[in-house]
Amino acid sequence: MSIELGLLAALGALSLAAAIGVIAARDAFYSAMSLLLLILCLAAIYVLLSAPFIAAAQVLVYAGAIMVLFLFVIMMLGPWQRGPAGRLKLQKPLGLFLGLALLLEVGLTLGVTLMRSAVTAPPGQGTAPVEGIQALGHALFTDYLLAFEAVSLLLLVAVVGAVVLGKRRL
Amino acid sequence: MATSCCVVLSAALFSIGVLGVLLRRNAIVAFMSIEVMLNAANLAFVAFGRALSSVTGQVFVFFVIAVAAAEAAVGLAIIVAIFRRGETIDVDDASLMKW
Repeated sequence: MSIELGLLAALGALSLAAAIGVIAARDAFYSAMSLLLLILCLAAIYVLLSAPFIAAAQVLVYAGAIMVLFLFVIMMLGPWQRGPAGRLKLQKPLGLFLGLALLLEVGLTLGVTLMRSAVTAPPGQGTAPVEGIQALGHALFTDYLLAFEAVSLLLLVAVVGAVVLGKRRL
Repeated sequence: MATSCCVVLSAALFSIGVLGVLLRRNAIVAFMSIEVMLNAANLAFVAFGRALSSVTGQVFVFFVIAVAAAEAAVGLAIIVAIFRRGETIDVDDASLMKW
């Protein structure tokens, strides 16, 4: 149990550092590399949380397809990414204030909830693993079949949209 | 215990994503901050799915990953189209519809 928590803590710290790297990196390419690190850390955390199929899907789809898309566009748009600085004077302080306000709100809500639930611990918290891919496939194709078909339609619409948006002359 | 840690981590990652969207003016970096937020939500889903011994959490993550892929494709196509028009991807420059 303590090895799992230790691994979770290390991966959590690494993913926090990667997320800060995404928003704070000077170049867009470094942000993309930090996002890749975040995706891989989260995939490892999913393995720790008994979700191996989701971890594999995360690496295949997020790291393997979405990040490649991002890197294509970053490489294509090249040196035009550094625009003139300091046009909107109020943006940095206002953005920092709002972001930290959100962090404070979420932290307070979580703290109160965790404090309350520490008194009455829920039984079997996270000790019973799910049966794995078979249960996931069964739920996907019986209970959530409508959502599954809707997502297929959404992917088709996204492909058509991306092709149309990419044309030089409509 | 692991669930609480993961939910706190998810909240922190989400807030960092929000900061990135609010503070960065490069459209691609803002888009990557949105992906950070989506990943934070995925983490919360998986953590709670394990805590409640339900497979529904993983089903939702499956759909969120698919929707994120579709959104990334269309969003990047839009960014490329805007760049082809004005040679810039600064979000402050895309102000044609500003009143």
